[in-house]
Amino acid sequence: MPPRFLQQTLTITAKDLRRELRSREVTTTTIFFSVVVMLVFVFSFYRDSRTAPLIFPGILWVSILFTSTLSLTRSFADERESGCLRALALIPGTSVSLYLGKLLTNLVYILTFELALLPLLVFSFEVPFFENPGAYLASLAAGTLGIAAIGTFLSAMLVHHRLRDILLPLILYPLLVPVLIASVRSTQLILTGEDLEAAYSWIRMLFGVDALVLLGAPALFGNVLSAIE
Amino acid sequence: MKLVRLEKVSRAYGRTFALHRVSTTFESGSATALLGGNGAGKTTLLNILATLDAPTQGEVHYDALSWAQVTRRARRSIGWVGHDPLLYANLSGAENLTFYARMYGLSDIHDLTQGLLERVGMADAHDRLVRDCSRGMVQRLTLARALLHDPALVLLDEPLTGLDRAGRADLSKLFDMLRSQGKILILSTHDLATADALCDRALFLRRGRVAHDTALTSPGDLLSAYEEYA
Repeated sequence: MPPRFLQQTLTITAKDLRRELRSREVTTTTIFFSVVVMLVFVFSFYRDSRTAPLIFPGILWVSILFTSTLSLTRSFADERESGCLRALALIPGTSVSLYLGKLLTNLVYILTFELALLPLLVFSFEVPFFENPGAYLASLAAGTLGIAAIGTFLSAMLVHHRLRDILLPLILYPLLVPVLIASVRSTQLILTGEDLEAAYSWIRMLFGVDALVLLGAPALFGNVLSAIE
Repeated sequence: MKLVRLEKVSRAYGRTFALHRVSTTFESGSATALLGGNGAGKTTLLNILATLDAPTQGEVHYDALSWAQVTRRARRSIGWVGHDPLLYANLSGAENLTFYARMYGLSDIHDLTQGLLERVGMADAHDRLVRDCSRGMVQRLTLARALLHDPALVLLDEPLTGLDRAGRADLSKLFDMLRSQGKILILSTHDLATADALCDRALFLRRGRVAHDTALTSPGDLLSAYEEYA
């Protein structure tokens, strides 16, 4: 029998994914948006394969950031519209599991559109992805986790705010600057192959930030939940 | 839970008191109707009892536990039916109940949800999405959700909304069963006839204060009291 909070976490994620499978609201929007953003960037900035390593990391992470915002703003939409936060608040131990469940859901959404985005970008920029696939994936995983972990927390804080769709990026983007810098630098270093050790240092730093957020956010989420229930 | 006791409970919003020095008790096996006009404080009282709102003054005790202790540790013993159904519109009735049952960590979930759906008269429509259900059907599902985890204290804010005659009859049977199980039932309503049929006690609130507290021993008690105190 899994620990209670783990069972609750998976229940929340399963519920969100079941709903998404029916409506395809988030995945359709994010995949479409990410591909459009990528196409605009490719046609605007791509010159030749020599300049590709300089612009590819920026395009990749800006695309991920913009598209992630779409799914992050919808994180608690169901709970807001149905008022279910009140019912969840009456269930003991839901604060941690609600955060982790929503985080997991967001990770699934973000990884889904990354699956669509990454091959297109790699193909368009002729990026030597298969020279260091492990390093690319580690950088992608660490950056994505950082965006989802901070974004899910902020999304909950703003759930009842009238201007939440505007405020979320306004607050989220400045907070994500360290994550984005580390993600872009690590991707760039892997791409050029100049200094893989430095790339791994950036990735380690990213995972460090992720760990801090993953420790802090669930601990604080109880206060957020009691304020928004 | 055998007893819920309120001692001089007040709830103020700014300078306005939604509840003012309310003292009363609710005992196991009882069904109390909270009555009063709009703004009398019925919903505020229910919110405080549900630990969804905190009293500004006074104390609420659930047996030996204080309001704060229940909020931290024993919210599980509360079943809540509010103005909103607290159901996910894109899930079916059965899926909603299964979701909440898993969140509560209950076992034998399939039998439990099927039994409850039958009891509230929703067995035939268990796979219908909540967004496609009528108001009355949603209200039946809401009742099922509130009773899913076998709470000792059941709080119902306007539970009759949208229920047809058959729904009210089902609710009456449900109330009898819950009372026989020793639950504490508290409901707010404007429907005097149904409150008279469902409850054994009426607590009249007026401008946040208890205006009258009476046992309902015979049909018609409520109507005469309502005209005087509500």
